[in-house]
Amino acid sequence: MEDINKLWKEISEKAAPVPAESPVFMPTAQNVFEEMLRKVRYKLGFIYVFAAIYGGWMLWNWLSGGNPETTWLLLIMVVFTVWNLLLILPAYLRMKKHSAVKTGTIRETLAFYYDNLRLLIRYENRISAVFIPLAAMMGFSYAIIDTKGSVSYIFERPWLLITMIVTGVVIGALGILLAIWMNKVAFGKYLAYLKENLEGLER
Amino acid sequence: MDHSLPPPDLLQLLQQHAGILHKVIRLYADDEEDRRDLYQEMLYESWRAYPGFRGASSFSTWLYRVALNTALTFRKKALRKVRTVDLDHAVQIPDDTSSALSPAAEMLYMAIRNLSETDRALITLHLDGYDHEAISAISGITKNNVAVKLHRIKSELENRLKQGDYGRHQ
Repeated sequence: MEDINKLWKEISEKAAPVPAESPVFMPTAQNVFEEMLRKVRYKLGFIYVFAAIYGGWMLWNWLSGGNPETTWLLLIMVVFTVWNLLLILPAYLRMKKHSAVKTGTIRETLAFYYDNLRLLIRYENRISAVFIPLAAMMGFSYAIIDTKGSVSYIFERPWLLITMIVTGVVIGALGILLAIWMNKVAFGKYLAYLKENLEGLER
Repeated sequence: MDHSLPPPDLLQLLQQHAGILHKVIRLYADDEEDRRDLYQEMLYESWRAYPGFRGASSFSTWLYRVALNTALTFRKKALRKVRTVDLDHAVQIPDDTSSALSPAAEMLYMAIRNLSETDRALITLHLDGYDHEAISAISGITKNNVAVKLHRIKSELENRLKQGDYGRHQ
């Protein structure tokens, strides 16, 4: 062991400095957690925009004496958009507050990254599963109301109702598969790496 | 977050303890691009965390914590994109730390690099003089577990050094 200590001293003394690209302090390095939070922030931005569009459209339709069924349809979309927001916003704020400052123990830091990245990915998948089929079915209903005047046109024709549900389910399934695949490509290896390190600490 | 320049005392402290960062980077990053990225990441994380530094431990212990946590959560190039082998790597250009070392020190350096990432963190802290209690506080595993793991890691290193089997330089 004495030998190892002596050799380590030599390594410590001769550890060559890492060549910096510039002597200027540049906090520009990639940070996975920040990257995920940024992604979620963009998503939240989209949700706000959609809530405003649906809400504004609904009010305009209502105040201008448009088809009341369209108003109800848009109201449902507003409610689901807000629900979507409630699903993702608290988790986002919680994680933003923690901010993943790396001064905790190694185990805490690894667990924080692993658990929260998994949580964010789960939320993303859940949103895809809920929102995409719903949006597809609402779009279908809107097209019928627009051309036939009432959504009852769908309910009077079971084949049309089935078509609408199948459309929602198929588009929803494709949406969730795409979300899972994209998250696996983007973060799968990194999650496996974090898990391996966490397990390595316990072994 | 305030994106102003880091406080001058932090810059001074980082300069004084830069060896810790360089040592950890050399043990965790595989190529020059990753080393530069990891170095920037460590500076960024130190700057971000510094307002919370209350001096409960020494600055070097605090910096070790930040450096190791950053290294262990760093998203390496190999994880970011498909690994490709360029000409420089194909001809195995040695890194500048190992080339400056004696053959025995180089063997130890390679043997440590060949350990698992978490074992690397524990043995680095141990060799830098941290006791089991301090290592337990930094790593988050129990003192007993630290002792058991260090015993195993040291035996593994000693065996490798004796046999000259230190694994391939990554």
